[in-house]
Amino acid sequence: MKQHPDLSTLMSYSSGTLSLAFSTLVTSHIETCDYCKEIVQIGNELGASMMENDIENKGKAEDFNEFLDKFNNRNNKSEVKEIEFDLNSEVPASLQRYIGSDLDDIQWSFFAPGIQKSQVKISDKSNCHLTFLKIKPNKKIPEHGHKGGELTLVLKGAFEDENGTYAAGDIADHDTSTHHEPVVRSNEDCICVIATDGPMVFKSMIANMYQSIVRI
Amino acid sequence: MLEVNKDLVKKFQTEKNTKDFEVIFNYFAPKIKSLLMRSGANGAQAEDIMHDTMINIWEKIHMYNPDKGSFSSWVYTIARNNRIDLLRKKSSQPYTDISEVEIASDNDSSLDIVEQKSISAHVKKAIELLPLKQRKVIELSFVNDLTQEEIAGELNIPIGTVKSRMRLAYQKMKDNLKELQV
Repeated sequence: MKQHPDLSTLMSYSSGTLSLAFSTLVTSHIETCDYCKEIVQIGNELGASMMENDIENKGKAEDFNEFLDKFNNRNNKSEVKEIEFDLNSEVPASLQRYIGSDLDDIQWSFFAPGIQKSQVKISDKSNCHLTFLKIKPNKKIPEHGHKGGELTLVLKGAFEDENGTYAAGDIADHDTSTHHEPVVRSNEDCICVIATDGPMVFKSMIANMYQSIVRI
Repeated sequence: MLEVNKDLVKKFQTEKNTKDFEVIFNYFAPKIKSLLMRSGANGAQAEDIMHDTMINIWEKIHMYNPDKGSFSSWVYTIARNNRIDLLRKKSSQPYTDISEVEIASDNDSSLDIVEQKSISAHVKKAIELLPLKQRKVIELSFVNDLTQEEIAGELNIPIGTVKSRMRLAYQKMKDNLKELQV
């Protein structure tokens, strides 16, 4: 694995301030990335230190017996169920709750010639969603920038842009400063999943008009 | 007050008794609640999240692996995830944390830099050594629960500057931790 989220993205992941869509993709990446796992663990130690050494903590004791009453009377006393994932799947465990463990089960719809799209809502209380794209070999996404942040996780195949090559498990972490023209560089279809907090802005006016209709 | 140390955590993992749990509660409960209130929770919300976190500690203690980080960082991530799930209320889907995925895969990857020996003191020292501007960005993110965009608005700086201060803070933290661990 060669392409990772930006360090600032990993720090925000540790502080818990990424959106659900962004944090889901970061979790999916670090499942198999020891490099990022270590960065996130240092971030978690930082958060723990902030909690332990909070200068505004007046040290007011909490009532253990009151907590114990609530604890003993809680409705659901069952032990925590560990989630079962298919670890041999090409779908990261963190994404399996949304799309299952088989990429072939994704319901695709036409997006553009050579490109299929599927949007999966990951929250029933907000418009938070992930966009899956299935792109044919050698197909280009027209040159574009971003009005917000964008994370792209490759699930299968590979693509290339001005910043490098991204293979399965890699993440492309782009923001408003990035303009790129991704092209699929694998012999098989490239399947990737995208989280954004702002729309793509295409260089071509026609592509922009189309984007305003289909939206990623 | 009795100390929450490695031996007590190990004993609690093995015996899971109320006496050890009380020591853990007395140490962490006020700290969790205080952090939550600084991140914008009201008293009742902070109390609920703190209670949920303490219940999770009891129920998930078998999942804690000391090779992967300090006990404090494990408690912190539980409290953080509960804050995400309960305070933001943007999703009915529980947050899939990397620790849950790792339990399922049983992938035991110990982290070189994160040794257990005095980790909290080392991290505290490393934070103190950060330049003020970088420390402020880290505090706003980890304590005040602000996104990068919100930090940019709060400090009236471009979001690119927020990102670069976070990157620099991390690099300095890592360097400082390495030096401190010699």
